[in-house]
Amino acid sequence: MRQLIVLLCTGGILASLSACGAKPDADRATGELRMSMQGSNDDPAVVKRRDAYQKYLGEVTGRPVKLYEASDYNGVIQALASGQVDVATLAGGGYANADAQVGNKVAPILTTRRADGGTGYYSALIVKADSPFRSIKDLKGHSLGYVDFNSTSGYLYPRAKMRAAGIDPETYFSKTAFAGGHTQAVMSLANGQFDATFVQVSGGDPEHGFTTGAVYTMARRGLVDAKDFRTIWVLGPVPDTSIVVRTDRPQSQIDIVRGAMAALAYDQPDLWVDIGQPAGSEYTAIDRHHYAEVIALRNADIAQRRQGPNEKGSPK
Amino acid sequence: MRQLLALIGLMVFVPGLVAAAPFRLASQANVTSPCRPLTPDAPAGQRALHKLLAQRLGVDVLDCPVAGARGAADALVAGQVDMGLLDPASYGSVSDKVRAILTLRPKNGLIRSQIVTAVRASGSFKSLGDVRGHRLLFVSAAPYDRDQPRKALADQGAGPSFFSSETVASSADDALARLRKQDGDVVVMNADAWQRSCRGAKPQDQPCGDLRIIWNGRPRAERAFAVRQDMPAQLRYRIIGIFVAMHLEAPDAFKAVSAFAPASENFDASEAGALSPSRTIP
Repeated sequence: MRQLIVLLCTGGILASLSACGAKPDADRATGELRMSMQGSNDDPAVVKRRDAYQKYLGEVTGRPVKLYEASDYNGVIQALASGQVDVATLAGGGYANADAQVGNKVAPILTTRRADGGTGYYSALIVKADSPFRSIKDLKGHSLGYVDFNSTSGYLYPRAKMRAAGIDPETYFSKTAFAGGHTQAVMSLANGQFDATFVQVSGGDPEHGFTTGAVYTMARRGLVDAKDFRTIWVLGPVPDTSIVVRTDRPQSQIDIVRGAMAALAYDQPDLWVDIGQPAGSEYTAIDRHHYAEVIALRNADIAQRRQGPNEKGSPK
Repeated sequence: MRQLLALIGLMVFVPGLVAAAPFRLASQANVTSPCRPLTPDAPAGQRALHKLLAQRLGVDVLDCPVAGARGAADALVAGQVDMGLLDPASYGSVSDKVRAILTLRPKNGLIRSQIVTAVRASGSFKSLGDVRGHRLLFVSAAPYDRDQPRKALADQGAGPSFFSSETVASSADDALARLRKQDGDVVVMNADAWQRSCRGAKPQDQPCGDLRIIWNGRPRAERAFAVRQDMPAQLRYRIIGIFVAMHLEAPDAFKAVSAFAPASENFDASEAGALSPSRTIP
């Protein structure tokens, strides 16, 4: 009888495994889903979005979602590249870095598509409104703040576009430094640490102006007054931030995460806006090709820096 | 030894006993007929589609011929298929048991963005029906500012003859200024433009506090893939996850499954009622 019970139990366990699908061993995910999002805990929108994604993905995957908080870009990149997290949000520059480290072990799966069909945002060169600077030509010999080495709009794109305009970013400015984030870049500018900085702007276009991005978000929180800054150069569009996954995770889980996130804007439109996504937008599927230009820019920037500065450093 | 053999036999036998149910995909046909495996002489695209779904869902995929969208709706309700292509007319009669999950976005086309319709809060208009015969303002002539809001309004019963006039402003701010100056009675725009104009620049700012939204929603989908509402959420999301990336991962399968709308770019997820034929204005 005891042997019969053992056999029945064994059969029951096997049955429960096989009922999960035809590929129970290779395609089952158990335990935690580990997620990371770059952003400061000081930003309520970031905290809200993290919490919302954690709750939502926990519900749809049936797995506890563990959040790996990272205060800078590199924390997320390294967590993803080393396999400590399964899914993360990364800007294009960050994904390009992860791609350089581990290749197709990571892949972008979704990005935001707005009501006008666009999938990008912009980079704005901003100065203090009471400064004399009206164009980048006025900034020769002055100081510039970058956001982060892994920032697309706050480093990669600006440097590529400056070079395209005949400006060598290594020699043109008296000083350059990394602020560490978009919020810090704006605060550093406000405090006079830099004469100018590049930050992300969105919620509009160069023709109609912008309403979202670091300056506007901080203004709504009462940290700065948007009128204290002037935009003197707008670059882009830059491919927007994406949801990136480890491709060595079960495909079924990747499909569920992608489907659930793609459905979020439609199933819960109020939540979608509440967590800081543009109203009327959605997540749309992408792959590595979406960031081909960013990857190329990053490679070119690294090559340029290894080569050293040119002698002129002046705009055309 | 006998017990070990029995256990091995069980391990081999049990998976076959409890194999997961096949995924039954409705396909358009002249007459509805029972589900069956795809025949080897089926078109290559259809075979690519079934192969992809079988691989990704980990189950067999069956082809279920149905007579049009009505046949698909009936088969869904009867539990004879798991997913089928519906239109608003066929969805209307099964909306209590079925939901939309996927729509197609046209090549270089717009997503089914949310549309906002607003009036002066000080006025008496409370619903879309109240603004019949009054003056409508669009915020620009761009497709996402005019064509899509126009369709969304028409879907609700407010077609071109519903308003006394339709004017295109130069921007969202211009349209809202005209509304406030009573140079128009109702403004319609996509939710993105509304958010940009109405979110404010400082804490406590409520730039649109003097306005009232009387209707918001999306333009109705002309067709959508639908499933039963009682489909487990994980399976529904898994299907969505496969389909939204199909144009990238399996172009031949995408071409086959979107053949009814050949100029399509990709699948988008959709809200449950994307096909709802109900109107705000009778």
